Order: sequence, then C-alpha cells, then structure tokens
Amino acid sequence: MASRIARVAAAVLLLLGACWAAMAADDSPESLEQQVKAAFLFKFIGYVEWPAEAFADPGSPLVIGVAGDDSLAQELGRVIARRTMNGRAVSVRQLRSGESLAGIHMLFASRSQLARLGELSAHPRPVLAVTDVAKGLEQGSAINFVTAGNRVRFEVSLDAAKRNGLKIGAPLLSVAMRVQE
Amino acid sequence: MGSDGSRPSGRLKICGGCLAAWLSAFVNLPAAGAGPDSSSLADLSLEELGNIEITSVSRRPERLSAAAASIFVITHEDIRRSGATSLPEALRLAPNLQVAQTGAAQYAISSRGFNNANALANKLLVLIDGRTVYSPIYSGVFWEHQDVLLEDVERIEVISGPGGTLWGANAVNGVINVITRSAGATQGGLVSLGGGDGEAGGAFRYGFALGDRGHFRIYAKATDLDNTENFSGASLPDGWRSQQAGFRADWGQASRNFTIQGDAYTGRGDSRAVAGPVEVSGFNLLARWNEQFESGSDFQLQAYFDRSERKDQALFQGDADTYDIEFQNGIPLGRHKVLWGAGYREASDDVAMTRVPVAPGFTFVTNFVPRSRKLTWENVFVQDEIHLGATVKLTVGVKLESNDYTGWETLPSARLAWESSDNHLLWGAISRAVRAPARLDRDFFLSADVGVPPLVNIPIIDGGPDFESEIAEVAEIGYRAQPWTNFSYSITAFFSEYSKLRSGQPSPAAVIQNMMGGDVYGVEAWASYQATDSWRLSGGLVELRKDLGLDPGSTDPEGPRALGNDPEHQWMLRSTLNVTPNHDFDIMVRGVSDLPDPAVPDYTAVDMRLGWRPQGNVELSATIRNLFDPGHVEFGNPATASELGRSVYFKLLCHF
Repeated sequence: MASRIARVAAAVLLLLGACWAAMAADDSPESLEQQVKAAFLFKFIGYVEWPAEAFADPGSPLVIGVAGDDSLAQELGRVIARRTMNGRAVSVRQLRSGESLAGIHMLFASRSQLARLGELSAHPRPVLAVTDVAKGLEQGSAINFVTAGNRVRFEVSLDAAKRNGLKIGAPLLSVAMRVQE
Repeated sequence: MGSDGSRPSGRLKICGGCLAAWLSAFVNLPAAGAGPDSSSLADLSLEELGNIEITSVSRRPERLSAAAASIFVITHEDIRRSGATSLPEALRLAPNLQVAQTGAAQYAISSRGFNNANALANKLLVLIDGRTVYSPIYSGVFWEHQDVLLEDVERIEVISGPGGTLWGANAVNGVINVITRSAGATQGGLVSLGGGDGEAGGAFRYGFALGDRGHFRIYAKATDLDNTENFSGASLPDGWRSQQAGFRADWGQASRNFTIQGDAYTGRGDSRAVAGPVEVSGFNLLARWNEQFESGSDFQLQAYFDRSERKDQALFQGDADTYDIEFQNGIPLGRHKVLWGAGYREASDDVAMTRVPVAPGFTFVTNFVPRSRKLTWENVFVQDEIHLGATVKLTVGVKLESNDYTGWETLPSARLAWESSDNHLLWGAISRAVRAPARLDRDFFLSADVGVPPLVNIPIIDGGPDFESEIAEVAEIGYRAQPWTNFSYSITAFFSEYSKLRSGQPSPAAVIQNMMGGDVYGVEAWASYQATDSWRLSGGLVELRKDLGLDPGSTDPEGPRALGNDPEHQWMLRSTLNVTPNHDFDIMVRGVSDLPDPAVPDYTAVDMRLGWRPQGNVELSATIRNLFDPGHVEFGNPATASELGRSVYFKLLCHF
C-alpha cells in the first residue's frame, strides 16, 4: 500500500525528468522584491498631487523615469500595461546617462544614479524622486525604499516633496515607516 | 490491513491518471509568456504590499498566491477583529483547521481529521516563532501551555496537508506557524484589559529602541478562566489561571539581522477531587541569525532551549528540556533555487509515575519506562525550486530525519505549480510524511493496583516495544485564484493513505502496535469577497471522509474511534464591516456537523464583535460568543463534557 502513491510519484518524476531537458532555457522571473517595488511605484502615483503645469494637457500620460535599473523598468512596464491611475495613462522611460529629466514626473534612481538627485536639488521641478539606498532621504529623495524584516517598506521626506512642488497624501504617510518633516 | 488487500485502489488510480494528464499538459506548454508578474501585486493596498512575506511553505519569503499548498493565513487584523483571547480561539479563523474546545483552557485541534483531546491529536505540528511546541513525550500539543500576546502576533500561517519535507516528522496533516512581530514593529506601550462571563485577562507590552539599529520589547500577561459546566449545570474543575512574560530583541538590517527572544509561564488549574490541580510551567530562549547576500543567497541559523513542566496526577506528569539547533541556506542558481539545511534536537525528559485511586481497592498507575530518557533527532534536507519556464514551477525535496526509536525516516515531496499571468494558480503535490514514535507510543505502562494490601498489580498497557512510525502518503491538487481584485478563493482536494497507525490490544498486558490504516480524503475551500471598501465577506468549508480499519490480525478492541472523532462537514462565514472608520461590526458563524463516536450533536455557533475607537490609540470592544446558543458540546462525551454557551467579553485596548 505504501506504494500506490509512491508509484504515482515515481511516474510523475520520470515524466517530468524527461521533459526538463526539452524545456527551453528561460530567464527566471524577476525577484519578488523588484515586483513589490514596481507595484509600489505605481501605487505611489495615486497618492501624490502634481501641479497642473506638470502635464502638457489634462490627458497627457504620467511618465516614470527609471535610471540605472532596467529590470525594475521592465517590471514596471508589466504593471502599467493594462492600467491607468486616476484616469491618466502611465508610461515608463528607461533613462540613460545624460538624458534630461524633461517630461518626467517620477524618477527612480538606483544606487549608481544618485547623482540624478543633485539635478533636482539644483533645479527643483515637479518630479517625485524615489530611491532604495541607505539614507536616501538625506540625499534628497522624497521616497526611499527600506527593506525591514523581509518586507519592502518606505520612508517619506515631506520637505523634498514640497521643494519640488508636490503634495503627498495622508494615506501614503500613514503607511510610511518614517516621515521626515 | 483492511484497506489494503480487500479494497480496490481504483480511486487513487483515477487520481493518479488525472495527475499525470495535467502534468503532461503543463510541460507541453510553450516556455515563453508573461511570468507571474507584479501586475497582480499592483492591485494590493499599500499596507498589503508592505506586508508581503510568507515563510511556511517554502521556509522563505514567498507570495501567498504562489505557494503550492493549502495554506491559509490568519492576519493580525483578523485576530483583532475576531475578539479572540487565546491562541486556540484565534485558530478558529482558519477554515482548514478543526478546533474544538474541551475545557476552560483545553482544546482539541487538528487538520484533516484525527482530532483528539489531551494532546492526543498527534498529526499537527505547531511552531511559535520557529520553536516547535509539539511534545516529544506525548506527540501532541498541550494548548494550555502555549500562549502568546495576540496583539503582537503578525500572522498565523496554517498549512493543511503534509509538511514533512521542510518541517520534519510529525508535520503529517498540517503545520501551524505562529509568527510574532519584530520588536521594531511593536514599539511603544500597549495595555489590554478585559473581562466578562467566565473570563478575565490583562496584558502589558512596552517596546523601545536599542541603540542605533536595534529594538526591544517586553510583555507580561495574565489570564483567569472560570470552571466550565456540563449539560446538567455541574461545575467541572477545569478553571485555569496563567501568567506569562517574555521579551524579544531584534537588531541589524535586512541583510544581516539577529533575534533573541524568550518567554516564561506558569499555569494552574482548579483543584480536582482526587488528583488535585494540573500545574504547568516553563520557559524558553531562542536566538536566530539571518543573513542575506547580494548574490541572492541567504542563510539562517537558529538555536533554542525550551523547558516545560507538567504536573497532572490524573494523566501525565512530565518535564522536558529541549535543545534545538538548525541551519538553512538558500542559493539561487539560474532557474533553480536550492534550499538545504540541517538540524539537531535533543530532549531530556522525566515522567513521574501517577497513581489515581478511582475506587476503593482500585488504583490506576501510569509509568513511563524508563522514567527518564534522552531522545535525539538529526535531520538534513534539500529542496530545489525549479522554474520550468515562466509560469511553471516544480519543487522537489526530501528530508532525512533520524530518531532514537526507528532510525532514519525519509520525507520526500514533489510540488508542481502553474501560475498563469492573470493570478490563477493550479498546483498539485505528492508527499510522504511520518509521525515518529513518541515516548507515549513506546514507553507507556498502565496498570491497576487492586485489592487491599498486599496489592495485586494488574498490567493493562505494557508499552509498545515494536511501535514504528505512522506513515501518510498524500496526493493533493489545488486551485487558487483572484479573478477580480475584490474576490479570491482557494480549493484543495486531498487523498491520504495512512498505514501503521497506532492500535491497541485487549487488556490485560496490551501492547501498542501499528495495525491500523486506511484512507482519508476530502475538500477544503475558502473565499474572500471585499463587497465594498468597508465590508468584507469571507467563508470556508471542509468536507472530510475517513475510511480507516484494523489490519488483518489486529485484536484492537477499539478500532478507528481511538484515532480521533471528526466531523464530516464544517463551514464558516465571516462578515467584517467598518460601520465608520472608528466602528467595527463583525460576525462569524461556524457550523460543525455531528461527531460520530462518541456521538456529539452538530452545532452552529454565532460570534459577534463590536469595536469602537473613540481615539486613535484607544479601542473598546464587546465580543459575544455563541450568541443564539444556550449551550453546545464541541468534543468528548456529551454527558460529561464542557458545554459552551453564550458569553460576553469586554475589552479595553490602549496604545501609548
């Protein structure tokens, strides 16, 4: 009797073994952490108020620029594919070095692209800067991802948002791990 | 065994055929296509996104919807809104558990059948923050020993079905993983005071920062439960008073963090006529080190000590000191994610003889021979999670675990999951799990001293010198989906073959054997529907059928009734409504069909809770249990068992 399920198990394993080899090589899916961060970036839009002049016209899309993290940009591309936020289409742009921030509403700067934050400090404009580095807020970003207890959380700098003419809604602040005035 | 030769195995063959058919359907799918992407994550709320982590099934963080197992997660919020005042009461929220209250603080809790009282429900493994609370002496859980500050519980993961490959022997029918919040997430003060019909309790917790990167919390709580009554109104001496205190420290960062935590408790029951009170006490200390490397690999090293003492003149009185150390290491290798680990556990116990005079000239005597014993367990496991293309994931693994009674046991499993891009997951699994012998199976002697001195000692049970591990082989298939953002459901069908289950012999001098077996099969399902922003409906049901019998040659006079008393149907419905942002109104209805032997009538229980937050940091609540019910029995012989009726509990919860 021990063996009825054991026999099925053996058959299934054999079947799978035979099929493994035939499987085309495939990239492993993006890490869960990247998926969660991409989802967060999209959700943030719903809680931030951009000045009207940030958009060419009321119907123009909101553009998220991603600097230095192509896998996150791709992940984000999947998130926004079938979605709008507050009736506005969202698009993602992979920012190359030297590429201007013109037309960008949210900027994700990876560790290697933190210099981008300097551009915002020097020339404030309605761009929500997001980072995922230690002391990110101190370097000028408005939202910084923090991994705590195996979860992705974030902290918010109201000052950085205000400097760039953005308002951050209370629901976002209530979920933030830390809010810097 | 009865189920072996005499009955055709057609059902499983059909099952196996289906399994093979759908497996081959998957492997022929093109490997391209959108992966289990973040698309569905974007439908979660900010809070939910920030709380994504799931550890039990894969022993590492995983998105719930991707876990290839029948797992239900009880969240912190669920616990708060249930008004539960104890861990077993909170477990009623899991549709895939059978929870029956047997006394003021005593419960019979199981999954997929085999439920039994007095820690005899032996197929469910329970862990609190990684520390197993399953007794190596009795192979079960004494629920009155297990307490946590419910306000600090992050979530309770309830897996029904075998979990031996990761969790080892005894995770035969399920694993319950109680996970408390890190000290960093429980900063500041909390005071909770409650009282009502037959119950009063209070708790205090304070959390503070420990240097730059560390946090610390301490807590203390006390509970006082009155005696319950049986159907005739007679008071049963099961009242319970317990106190517990503990701490937890966490420091470090995501890439390297450390936890040290500990608890100490004491509990005492009402005094019984002959046997006096049940008295329990214990403490534990646990340390854990987690490390995550930039390469994506990680490891965890955990060690703990646990002491538990139990004095019960009527049943068992044993003390046990348990040391446990375990290591696990996860390594991503392209399409593979390998997880391996090893562990060692040692438990030294001392089980005193008990003498229970039941009538003049007749005294029951229980003995464990040898009285003291040191048991050791060693284990190694390896599991590989293989992405067969973007949407199909195969997880194969095996654990080898040794015990002093039967040597090395093999606990393999294979799980296959297909997650289509639109948040539907189809999974199947085959596993082998064992329940290794406990002291109770091998070393337990029961006799009676009869007559006036000189007494004659008549042996009733003479241990189980040849008792081996009980074995379960389980096939499961499940489907989980979130077709709309506000609706999700999960369905699991399982078929389990048991062999070498514990059986007895007619006394005198009965020997404990492994001569029972058979099939248990059923369906578990649950769903959740967010009807409006403020109103959620959820429900669940379990259908369970058992077909157990004695093996040929067994002389067991009891048969399968000794292995548990389980309902065929069980269902629950919950409504959680935010009347205003500061007012909760919650209802839970549970229905349990009759238990066969001893016969316990079916019952439907309605619990209701009203919560009010006059200020953000203060909550007042009233919970009414068994609202429309003057009294019902949940387990045991209805002529003598505790009858549970309407009760009200008021609670004040204050954060500062």
